[in-house]
Amino acid sequence: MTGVRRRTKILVAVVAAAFLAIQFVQADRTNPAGRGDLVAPADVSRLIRRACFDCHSNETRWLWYSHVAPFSWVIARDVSAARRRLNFSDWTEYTADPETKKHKLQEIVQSIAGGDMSPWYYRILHSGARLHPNERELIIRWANQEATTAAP
Amino acid sequence: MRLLHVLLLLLAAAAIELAPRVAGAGGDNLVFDIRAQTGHFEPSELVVPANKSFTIRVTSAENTAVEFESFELHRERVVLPGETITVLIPALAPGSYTFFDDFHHDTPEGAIVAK
Repeated sequence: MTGVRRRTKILVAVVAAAFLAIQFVQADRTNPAGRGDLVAPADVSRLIRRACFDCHSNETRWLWYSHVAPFSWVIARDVSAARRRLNFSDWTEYTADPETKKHKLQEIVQSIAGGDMSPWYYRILHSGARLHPNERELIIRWANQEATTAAP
Repeated sequence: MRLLHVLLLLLAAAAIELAPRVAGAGGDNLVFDIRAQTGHFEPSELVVPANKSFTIRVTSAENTAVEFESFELHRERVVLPGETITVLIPALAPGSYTFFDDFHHDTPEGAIVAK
């Protein structure tokens, strides 16, 4: 029995030490300057900011748990990947090529309509990322309209 | 004498017709071609002048659609089989900008090198 207790204590100590040690490996949590924000009607812009900006912009709110490894690594990786795919802080870069802008808008429609965005595991902790059906409809209508005018 | 006049007129007309194209080739309207075929981009490295905007014509010679995408350039375009699309690229700072086929991740990445 004493041996089991001793082994448990050692295991807990090792896990705690490892947890402390990985805190020294910090993730990249920067918010670089954008090249030109999304231009959209105020109600649409407000919704996109609330539901999408934490990952798809350079205005990420790095909450407390994003400073704790290993969660910080996963969050930083996800944000980086999301920004590469669609970054609302660089929106004017897409608009410089109208067909790219149209493509991005079509992807927004697909993601929102299909319920892929925002991801379910993200919505659990972020109530602001949950979109009501009428809010989804508002974004989809705007994106479809913009796509039509972006490129013939 | 009349024949000479006709010849001069023809030369003048040819000069008017060709002038814009020659000016375009001089750098105001730079156009480069990239072709997707047999699982790779041709050329895989495209050298362009830095600080000058340009256009890329992307052609798919594949049997399936390809997606010409570059994170650094903020471009994402679908190219259907046999289709040629034009992608507008703004003036680039010197450096290397990768592009890839997002529909076929086994296709090797290409790069646009601005010098």
